[in-house]
Amino acid sequence: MCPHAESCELFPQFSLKAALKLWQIHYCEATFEGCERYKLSLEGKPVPITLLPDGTSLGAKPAK
Amino acid sequence: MQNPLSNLLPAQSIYWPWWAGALALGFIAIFFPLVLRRPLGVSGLLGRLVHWKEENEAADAEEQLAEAGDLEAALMTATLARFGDEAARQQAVPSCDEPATGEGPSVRIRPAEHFMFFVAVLIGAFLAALTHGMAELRWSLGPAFESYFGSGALSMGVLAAGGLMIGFGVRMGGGCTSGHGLTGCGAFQPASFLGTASFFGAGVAVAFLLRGLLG
Repeated sequence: MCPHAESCELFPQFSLKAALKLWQIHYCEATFEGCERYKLSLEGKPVPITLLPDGTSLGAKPAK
Repeated sequence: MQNPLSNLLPAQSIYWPWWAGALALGFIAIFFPLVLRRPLGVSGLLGRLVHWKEENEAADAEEQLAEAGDLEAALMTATLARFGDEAARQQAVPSCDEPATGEGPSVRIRPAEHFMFFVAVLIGAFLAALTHGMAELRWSLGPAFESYFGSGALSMGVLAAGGLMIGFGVRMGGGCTSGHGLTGCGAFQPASFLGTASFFGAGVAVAFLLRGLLG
């Protein structure tokens, strides 16, 4: 389990819907070392709520 | 000039009374998280000030998201884009978890406001020293410190090295006396109890060690 889950602003949001929980399953409970939010937090840098674990940004258009 | 606070201060003491500090610290430890929904931590705030550019970018991104509307809807769109069919199948399944606590995301503070916080800390410290006749710039922590390191270049070097070591320690430990000691312990966080015990214990141990080594 990601040690930053308690302080992560998106973690509780991922519990709101079963589909959103996929982020927890794939990142928070599995390979949290690969989570871009976790990596940025380890660097001591601010983690925007818009940054998703895979590095994409909320509101940004998905790559085609 | 007669110190206007002299009647409130205990005689023979260079410090303000303990209860005045306790009231002030207790007030800010409760007030700060209530208003900003984030714990008070001076070293963390300083870190954010250092990363002012990234902080501004994060604040801009969050403001854009807030203007766009629903966070949950934006998350769902991103989830479908990332996980495709797997997410689509889950869309029809209700979550078994308890809903989120209802506390909204913390308020992101702009670096300019962090800066004001530190200016206020400096002004408060200066006023406290001024009202006690202790406001002066010096490169020493007192007679005991001077007996070990003097008051010249060595003293400055030791203070700078000490500051760097404290900075390294608080980043490694994820907080300082305000973050762990004041806010974390107040919230009964086990890690903060451990952190506070560690740095106060280390401080006492080093004091005894220095006394033993340097006389």
